[in-house]
Amino acid sequence: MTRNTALILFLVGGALALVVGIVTNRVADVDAEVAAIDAPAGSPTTQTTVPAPDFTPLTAAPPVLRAAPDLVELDGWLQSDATTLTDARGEVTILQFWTFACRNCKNTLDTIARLYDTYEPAGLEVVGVHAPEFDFEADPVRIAEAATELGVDWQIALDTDKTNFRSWQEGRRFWPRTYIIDADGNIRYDWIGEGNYDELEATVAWLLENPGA
Amino acid sequence: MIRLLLEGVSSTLLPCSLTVLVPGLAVFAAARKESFKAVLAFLVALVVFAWFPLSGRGPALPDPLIALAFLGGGVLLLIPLIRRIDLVSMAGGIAVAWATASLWQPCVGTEFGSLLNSMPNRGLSGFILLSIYLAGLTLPLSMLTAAAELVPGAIRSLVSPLLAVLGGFILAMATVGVALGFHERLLEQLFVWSL
Repeated sequence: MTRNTALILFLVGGALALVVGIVTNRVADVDAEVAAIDAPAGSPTTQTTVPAPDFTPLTAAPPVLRAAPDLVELDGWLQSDATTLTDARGEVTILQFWTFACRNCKNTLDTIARLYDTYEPAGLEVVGVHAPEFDFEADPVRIAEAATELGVDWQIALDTDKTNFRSWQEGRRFWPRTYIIDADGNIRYDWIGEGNYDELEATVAWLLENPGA
Repeated sequence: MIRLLLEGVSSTLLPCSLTVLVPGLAVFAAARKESFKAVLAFLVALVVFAWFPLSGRGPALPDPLIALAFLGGGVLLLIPLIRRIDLVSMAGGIAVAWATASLWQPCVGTEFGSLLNSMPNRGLSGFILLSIYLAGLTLPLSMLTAAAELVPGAIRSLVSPLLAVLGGFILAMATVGVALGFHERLLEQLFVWSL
């Protein structure tokens, strides 16, 4: 095989992979659009499109990873009267670092919304710590508008300077990053990026059923 | 592994990949006749330098050193009159990759998220999986480089001065942006343009 033939084969294979990648992206976008069309008027799309999955219950207590630090030097809160993380916490708290223009963050919101709906009566609280990647994401008015549009009806802490984004995530920092905090203020779950929703729900359910454990 | 590769490919369309693709494009443009080797060096070095901070085995470069790496890479890539220009161009690609890996804030989808969560406990397998993801993410750059190899030499010679100016400009902007702390603004502008 000549060098040029190898290059042409690589280009053909690469083009094929790009098409698959684009189609994958497009399918995800179409799914979101269909969900938005199917949703009843005025209702957030996130709460009507995600079927409740059957999660595998935990068989042992989730490990205590470390004590959750407080949220400091915030620019304020949206959709909350809290002034500290302690005020905002429930029996169990999902705390997620996110920013509204982050695609991967948005992909997690359906699941968090469903968990909030399902487990809020049992004591779950959700705190979205909004840490903007870009300046245009730092405007509280835009954040509030995005929250409405995305169906984010839980508490939002404004970490505009990313002080907490940096201090909570030592060394490796990512959007989104999701933690679960138990009633004693300990972090019992830590996940980078999308996915792992089965364990997320199982951890929430276990901690609500076993307070203090 | 296929899903990880495809997630990398689909991430190439997202704004968070601009931090990687734009410096890679600058290496391609600035290296002119040696673009194949320089981009190859850039891609290999990118995996190595990204692996250390992502696996928690080493810190990313601080901003002053990132600026220095962009500057050094740019100088090495643009030096026109020296012997063994292929090795110098590869060194330039490596320097730019070091800076790029330190600036990269990846999109974290399901597959890459699983990898990142387990990466501190993985050894070589983590490195290999990261290289697969990055192969997908940098696919447009690899394809551009491969396609350029098929272009006749006369045409390449014609456009190479323009490419050198373009590559040099991008690397100069990256150097100044990081040194003066407005590189996030530059990325934001690219982000807005890409929407």
